[in-house]
Amino acid sequence: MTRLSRRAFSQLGLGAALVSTASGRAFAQAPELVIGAANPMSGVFAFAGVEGFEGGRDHFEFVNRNGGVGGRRIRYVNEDSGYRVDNAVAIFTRITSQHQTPVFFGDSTGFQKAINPELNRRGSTVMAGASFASEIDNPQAFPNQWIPGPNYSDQFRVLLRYIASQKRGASVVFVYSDTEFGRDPIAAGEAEARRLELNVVEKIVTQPGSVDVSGDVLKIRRRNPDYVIFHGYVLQPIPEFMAQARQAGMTSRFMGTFYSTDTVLMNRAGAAADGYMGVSCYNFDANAQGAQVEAIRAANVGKTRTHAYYQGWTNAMLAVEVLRRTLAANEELNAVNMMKHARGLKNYDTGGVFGVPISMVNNSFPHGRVYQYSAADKVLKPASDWITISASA
Amino acid sequence: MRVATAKESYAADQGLFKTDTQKVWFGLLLAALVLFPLHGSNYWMFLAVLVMINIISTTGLNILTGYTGQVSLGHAAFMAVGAYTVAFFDGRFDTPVLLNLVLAGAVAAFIGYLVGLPSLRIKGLYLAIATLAASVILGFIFLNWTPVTGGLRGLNVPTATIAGIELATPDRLYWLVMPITVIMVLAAKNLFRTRVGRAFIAIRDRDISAEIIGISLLKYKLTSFAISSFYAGVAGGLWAYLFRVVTPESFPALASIFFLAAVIVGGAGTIIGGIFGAVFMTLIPEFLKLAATAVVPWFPDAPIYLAPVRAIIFGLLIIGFLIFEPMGLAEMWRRTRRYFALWPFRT
Repeated sequence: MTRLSRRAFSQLGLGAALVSTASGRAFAQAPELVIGAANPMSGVFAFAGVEGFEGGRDHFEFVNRNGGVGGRRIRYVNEDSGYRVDNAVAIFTRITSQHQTPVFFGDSTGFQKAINPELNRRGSTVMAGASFASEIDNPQAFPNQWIPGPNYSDQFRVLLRYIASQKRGASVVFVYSDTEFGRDPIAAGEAEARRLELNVVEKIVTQPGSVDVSGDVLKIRRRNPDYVIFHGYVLQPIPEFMAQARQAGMTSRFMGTFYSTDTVLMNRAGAAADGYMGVSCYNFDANAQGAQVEAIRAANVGKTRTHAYYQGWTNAMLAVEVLRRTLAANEELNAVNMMKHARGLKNYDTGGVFGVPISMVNNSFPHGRVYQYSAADKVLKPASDWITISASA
Repeated sequence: MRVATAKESYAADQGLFKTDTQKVWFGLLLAALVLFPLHGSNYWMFLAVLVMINIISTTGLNILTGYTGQVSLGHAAFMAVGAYTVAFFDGRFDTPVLLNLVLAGAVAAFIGYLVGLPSLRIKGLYLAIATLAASVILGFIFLNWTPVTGGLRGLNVPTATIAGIELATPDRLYWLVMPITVIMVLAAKNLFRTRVGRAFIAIRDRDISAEIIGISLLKYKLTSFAISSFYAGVAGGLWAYLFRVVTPESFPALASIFFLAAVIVGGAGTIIGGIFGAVFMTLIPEFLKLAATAVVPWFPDAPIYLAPVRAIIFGLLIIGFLIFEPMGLAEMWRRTRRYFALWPFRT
């Protein structure tokens, strides 16, 4: 048996100490960056909540695989809100009391409004989320939040400008749900229509989940407008409206805003949705180029993702960029610093997620494009170029 | 086995606390409520405040449904009335917090009084639908009386401030909500030691018999509605101070079902049942959520798959209670107490 001399023992000890020091250095990591989220994983908006969660999760995995943010990994802490304001507030309170949370994703306009005073009071967390409410697009009232695209009023403006470019003095009917979500852009839409000299000939308010639309279709038929714009619905009752209108021989073009413009939803509606036009801020071009869209494709081989997924991805991408810029400037991760860098996003290249470089105006990114659904190909095809709404609008 | 609980007078028999043990436990509960903020994190303080608000509201519904036998599906709308009242007075006139809460209760009580009018002619399911219809009308008012309610956008509520101290965080708001909860629960308990409370119980048990023995159904049914709505209004006012925004969507009809379920699960017709029900209905989904969150490190997609499972488990628990303990948590509590009181004898 080999005896261990004192010198050999000392050398071994020294070696072990060096190895342990070296490995200690190797394992010493910068603290994680925690991003919290309250997504509706159950309830009526679960379909969007799950997609939104997965969009954020996939982006953070992509970022972590590529070295994190300034060498720090992102930890995404998400909980199911059930699309209830009190649940979402509880989740916000719990996650922010357990972790330092520079960015939090909210699930609804109601929650983002409810938590806003608390967000302003804390000054340590910025928020983005699922809401495109025009009210949130106000830096004075909501200084610590952003919207991952154009607000609902700007989405309406994109649609109306497209209509004006197609037919001068076209007649338009607005159909919207009797909810806060539904009524949001109507006044701004009417003002924009007047400016563009379009004729809003009828406004129809329905229950959000309305199924018996025959009376409303009759109203539209009487007016026989060139365009009908839906807002405040996820999908229903749009296909029913379109099917009945077609049966009645109407030739109106049907349009909608963000949450009703989606390949997956249109595919479910089938032939009735053929020709439907909708506004989106995301790039559905299958040949789009850019690091981010390629990462989305790599993470979703064989899957078709909904709008909400892109929204989750975009929120995560913007959050990472804001964190990266704040850390690069060697500044504290507080709301003032982070929002300063968020508002500094001018002509920002989204790696193909938006079709144009984006700039924050107020709290939103007012860029959109009109797509048209082709039932034969089961895809949304671009119908317009990218349209940017200026701050003065 | 507990001995010497015999009472020598009606007053002693009707006492708020019938035994010294009860007094000791109540003292310990008060001490725990006072000491809780020393150890509770911000999140636990938030949950505590939410639970107490729900206890006030559930107790109010219990007075109406559990004790007077009147079904209401408009309770959440009365909470909304309270929340809007607080938002309106505090936001517009900067009136003191306690006055706002009293006003919230008073306005809700008045509305509740009006909504209770049909209860003289109809009961059971018919009354439930009438109260639901009243909540729809109130919802319409919240949505369209824009100068007062802010319409669709709702109203933001200033931070509750008492003696210059801003109760902006749950740990501070706790000191407003906790005493109010204790006072209101004790007041409800006390109510059923009075003539009014006994009249409520008589109406619940058999309204025709109650009328025959001289109880005015008109007076007491409406009083019950008013008191119940007062509780809902105060709870709604506190809710407004907790969340600091009130919109027409803040109190959906589903919230009324929530409170009705809390009364049934806790045990209708007992004050402790209302407390148990509110705690159960508020905290069980939260604990199920914690359990779902705990497995995330090993199962990253857990939030997606466990969310519906959580809802199913919660639903099954409620169904389980209805099947195996229709008298609610209060009955389980009573059995537990009886076991210790009679030990070593069997209950």
